[in-house]
Amino acid sequence: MKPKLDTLELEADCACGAASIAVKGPIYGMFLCCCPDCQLMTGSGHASVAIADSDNVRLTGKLSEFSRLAASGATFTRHFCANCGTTLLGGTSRRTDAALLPVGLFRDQSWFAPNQVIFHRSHQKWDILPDIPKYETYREGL
Amino acid sequence: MSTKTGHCHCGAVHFEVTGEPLRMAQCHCNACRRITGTGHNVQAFFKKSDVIIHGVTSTHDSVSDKGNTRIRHFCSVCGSRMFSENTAAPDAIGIAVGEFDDSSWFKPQVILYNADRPAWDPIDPSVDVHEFM
Ligand SMILES: [Zn+2]
Ligand SMILES: [Zn+2]
Ligand SMILES: [Zn+2]
Ligand SMILES: [Zn+2]
Repeated sequence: MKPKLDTLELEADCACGAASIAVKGPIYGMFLCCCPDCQLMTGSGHASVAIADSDNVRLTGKLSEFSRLAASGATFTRHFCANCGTTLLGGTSRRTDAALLPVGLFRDQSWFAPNQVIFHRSHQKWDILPDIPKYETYREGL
Repeated sequence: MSTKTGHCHCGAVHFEVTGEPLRMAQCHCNACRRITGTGHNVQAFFKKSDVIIHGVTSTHDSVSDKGNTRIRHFCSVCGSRMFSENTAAPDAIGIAVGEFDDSSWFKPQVILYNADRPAWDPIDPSVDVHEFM
């Protein structure tokens, strides 16, 4: 892990400014996910995700949440601004200490270096991915 | 003429499209990265009269760099990215490609705001690239 990820401090507002997130490092996982759920949530070919400690995340504003059963058997919950729909944070019941950050939310993304693609089995051929290891489904330990 | 179908994550909003896309685009601007949470937004634009939407979306308006008003639609139940409208092209509607049941027909014709593209998000070099709009 690069030392910078241990001391990273991130802040972002949603598109309308009614909600915000502040995160402190460490970042201990970075990946892309091509699962059908991530395609639906993002409207694009994959989600870009960084994992932080949920204790290091502060949210403000009125958020809606949506939960669904993930392919891994866990319940995945996404928190989004009720006014503009911007997703601020995701979480999984399998690891309640993990905060799943939508990387595109943050203006500075230079720190992000995904090291794997998961759920590559549902990858769309029009979606260009970096040259990193690709896995057909979920990987334990994420 | 083939019909394209799609829906949001929770199914409260679904849609049908007849006809072919007017334009297919990938945008890396700050606004598109923020609302998708990833490195870019991909949309296919159709004639509004070719699109039937079932269910109710919520909208959020913003002003584009050109000074036009963009109206972005999302599902208020699940937060999925759905549609966009722009006052500069009132007869067209953009649909987030990730919402289609089958998007194998999609291929971006243009890449916008390449200047804002993160290093970790590669592009197809054969596509027409614009540094800004
Ligand atoms: Zn908002
Ligand atoms: Zn996924
Ligand atoms: Zn929905
Ligand atoms: Zn954009």
